[in-house]
Amino acid sequence: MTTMTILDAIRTTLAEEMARDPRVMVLGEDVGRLGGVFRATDGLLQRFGDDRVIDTPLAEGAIIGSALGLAISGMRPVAELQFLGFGAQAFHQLTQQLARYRFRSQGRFAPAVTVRAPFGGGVRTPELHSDALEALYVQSPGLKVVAPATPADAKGLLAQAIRDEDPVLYLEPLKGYRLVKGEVPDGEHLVEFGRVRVARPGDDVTLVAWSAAVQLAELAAAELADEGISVRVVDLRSLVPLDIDGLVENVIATGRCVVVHEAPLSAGFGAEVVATVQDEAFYDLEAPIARVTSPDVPYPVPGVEHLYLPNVERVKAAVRRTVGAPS
Amino acid sequence: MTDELRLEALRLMRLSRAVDAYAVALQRQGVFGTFGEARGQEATLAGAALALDPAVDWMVPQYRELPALVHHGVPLPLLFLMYRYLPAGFTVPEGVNALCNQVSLAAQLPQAVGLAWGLKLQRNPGVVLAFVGDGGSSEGDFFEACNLAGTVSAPVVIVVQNNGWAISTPVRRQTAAESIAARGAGFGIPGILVDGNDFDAVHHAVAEAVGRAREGGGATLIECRTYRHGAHNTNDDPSKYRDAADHEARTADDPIARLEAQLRESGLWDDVMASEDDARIASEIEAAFQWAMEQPEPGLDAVFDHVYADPPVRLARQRAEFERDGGAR
Amino acid sequence: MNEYRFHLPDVGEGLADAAIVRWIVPEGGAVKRMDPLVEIETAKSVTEIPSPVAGTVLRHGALEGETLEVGDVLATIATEAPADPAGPVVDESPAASAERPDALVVDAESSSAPLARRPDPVAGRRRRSAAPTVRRRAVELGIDLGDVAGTGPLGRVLMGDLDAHVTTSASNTGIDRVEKLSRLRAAVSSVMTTAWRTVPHITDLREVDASGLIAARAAFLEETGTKVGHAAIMAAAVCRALRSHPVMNASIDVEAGTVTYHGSVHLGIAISVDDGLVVAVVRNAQDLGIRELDAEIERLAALARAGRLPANESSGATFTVSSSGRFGGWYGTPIVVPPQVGIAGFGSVRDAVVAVNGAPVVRPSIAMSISADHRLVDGAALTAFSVEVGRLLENPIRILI
Repeated sequence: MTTMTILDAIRTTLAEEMARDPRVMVLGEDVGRLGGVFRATDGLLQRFGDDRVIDTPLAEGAIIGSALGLAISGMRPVAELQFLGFGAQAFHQLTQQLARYRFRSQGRFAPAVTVRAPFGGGVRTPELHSDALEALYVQSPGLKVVAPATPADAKGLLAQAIRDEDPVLYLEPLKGYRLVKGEVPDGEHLVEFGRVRVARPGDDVTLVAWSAAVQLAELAAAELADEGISVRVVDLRSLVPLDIDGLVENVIATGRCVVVHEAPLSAGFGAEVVATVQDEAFYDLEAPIARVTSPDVPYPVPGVEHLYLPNVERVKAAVRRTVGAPS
Repeated sequence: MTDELRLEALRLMRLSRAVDAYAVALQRQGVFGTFGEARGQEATLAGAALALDPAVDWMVPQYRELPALVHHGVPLPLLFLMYRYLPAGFTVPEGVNALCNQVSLAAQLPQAVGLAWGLKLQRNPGVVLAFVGDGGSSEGDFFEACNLAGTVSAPVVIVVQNNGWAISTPVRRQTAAESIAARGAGFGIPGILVDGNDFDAVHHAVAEAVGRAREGGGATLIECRTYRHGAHNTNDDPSKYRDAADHEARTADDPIARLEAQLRESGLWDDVMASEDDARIASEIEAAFQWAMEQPEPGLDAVFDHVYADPPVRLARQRAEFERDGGAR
Repeated sequence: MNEYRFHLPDVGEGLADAAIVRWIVPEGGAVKRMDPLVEIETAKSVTEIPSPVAGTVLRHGALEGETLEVGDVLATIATEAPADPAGPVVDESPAASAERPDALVVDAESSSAPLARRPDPVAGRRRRSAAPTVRRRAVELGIDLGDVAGTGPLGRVLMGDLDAHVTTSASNTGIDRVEKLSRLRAAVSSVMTTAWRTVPHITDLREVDASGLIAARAAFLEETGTKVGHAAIMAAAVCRALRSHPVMNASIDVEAGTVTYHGSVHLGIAISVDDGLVVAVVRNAQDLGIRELDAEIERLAALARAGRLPANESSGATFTVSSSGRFGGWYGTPIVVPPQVGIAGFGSVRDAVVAVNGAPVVRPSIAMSISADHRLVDGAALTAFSVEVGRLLENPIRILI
């Protein structure tokens, strides 16, 4: 076990996977000489050379499209989108192409591409850099979407993504890059997709979150404990595939649920969580399922970001309402 | 360039022309779905295809390259199944180095560049030949792909089939530039302009580019000027936007007639060979049609299979629900 | 020879119909496969349709100039070929059907309806409102939610409402009802079990003439204009008796080998609440007059019933008084709760036949049941105490002496 940040976990995992499998290569903007704008790929160029770590032109469509071609040729590309928001410039290659290629070719071509993309607020980035857009990508069947919240999961999910035979969108928490430290197993560590993680046990209500929102949920849970409310925090980790049974079982245990995510409310992935829970746990619910999210407005400038994102007070208020609902 | 090669090309082009007519007729009968003829563009397609080694090189189509795919190893019966729009028709057999038809214009180009790049990284001698149309050449993917191809010296040859029309948009509205080939300079790669109706010219240009790529010389952009004799596809009516007289003039320059005349003049082709070839074509087309019609009707498998390597729990349950609730009709 | 029905295909991705421009092959005419059969006009273009089979055209599906819908029979052809090789690719997409004349017509009014007001949540609600857990329970119990009075917001039926409904309705539903023990019930259960196991009980049962008690209350009423409860007078009597029978206001510590005779009477008053029994403690009851006792008992009872009895007023009793009179009780077997050694239970006041001067007389009577911890209190001591309490009750003025 080694204590490290999420960023360290990503960097060391990339190095380990590249050492393990000569087909693994990294491509993206500024990933080579600079080592990535967040240093997530720091040292890789020096260690593995410019055949395997490539500074691409500034063209997201080409990055993802060529990654698809590289995979068909037999390589294992790990493509970086510098920020998830700029995935828009590669949206067609991600959703029309990468997600569907196996299906379109009836299994003949199965591009095993990992696309890494950081997202999330609380770090005062300019417009478009923090947008939480995971909900746009979960409706591309064929594309897996995962989001670690801890350093251990950052390693385990990334290693799994690289080895997975399906294309994976691996979402990294911008805020958590350096702020979240944790113990990471040494050596090989894989986290299976489609399994939730109970971040904190509790009996009165279940908070469901992913990525940076997990830390927010845990903070709120700790404060609510002082009010005598026992909050269970569930980290989804894997949006596609979704651990339906794990999610539902953890809501049935308390009978009450609050979903927290940074993306705007309407049609965010929280809606899918709510629909799933409602479908499978209806008769075990003591109260309506609540969502604590950002509002249905474009992501504002850093100056007012703190007014936009979900915060501990709003999460606590929603939990109190949910727990206090008479049944 | 040999006479054998030219004869092979002529036979391929005549097959393509016959398939086009047949396929349109089948669409009118409701048997085939939407179909886009390659009529008029056969010299470009045969010229490019015959410059490749199907065992080693890759072909990346848009969707108007039927004869090229056939030459590269995709069986005609399978293509017929594809035009019935059944899922099994969209695969490519193992060992055939071609990607599937691509509906999203130019989306295949960055993929082709990546494929070529990857072959090079793995010291594979294969070269990638990608097709795109004049319309597709305006898409962002075209520019991003060509630019990337230059920077990584990808062994890829991009052939632009400039057939004059993107549905109803003439080329003069597609770009203000003198040619699409001229863009090569902007990408740092050679840009070659060719008479797309001249089989010899096309073959020569493509073979040279393929050879250069195989030697590590990187990418080439080739623009083949040709003409789309037919409609954009079976949903289109060109009489609404094409001038009849102009159309007459353009179709008069028929690439098949040109090559045939060339070979007749050399004494390598005559009416007997033509009618033998017609018989061969008819039976090949008939056999392909029979095979395509005999293929089993797909069930729910065709909808649920091949989405992931390992279907998620939810997908498996959805499928069970569909079966239970009568989704299989 | 088969009859091949050639259905009009959708030749243009979403066409709904086509008009016959010209029949190229007449009825009765021979046709080869792929020969042009008919010219049709669609919304997009005029186009020729080739025949799918070789044979003889038996019937045209429509006349020149007429319109057919996609899927209608365009022509019937007598042929050697199979009647229906694969069937045409008929476009069943919603776009196609939307253009049919009889397609769903969008209601112009509804599509431009003003911003909908939220409906009145209570009025017009046909169904009862209840949480999913409550609904499931109602189903399990066989209860129609409509029969249950809802005390939640906007008339919502709460789980407690279901419970109340069940207890007030006939219990022979045939279904066992399992409930979790309330905290109070669990606590009482524990205390009683310990008491029963620890304390060897003896109980003195006796009937006491209540006419003096009744007269005293009447005198009190006349004197003060207010009523005083039986409980207050019984409490006063007990306190007075404890003064002269200190062994009943004591505690025994067998391990230490000691007896503690308490310096004060902290009188426990047993109060019946919703789901059990609570004992409120009147501290230093010996110092309180009847009115103060009465007021204290009232106050503590109110607190207890509201579930807000503080800890310091529900513990530390040295002797307890319990009354079952309200429920029509008579004799009983009250349980001593250590470290107390005694508990006095009183039944209701009712007429009984007693012997007075050798003759049967009807007198108001009250039954007393006083239990004691036999480790400390012998039969004689208990009897003596009990007799004293009875004597004081029969003539409450004795309490003052």
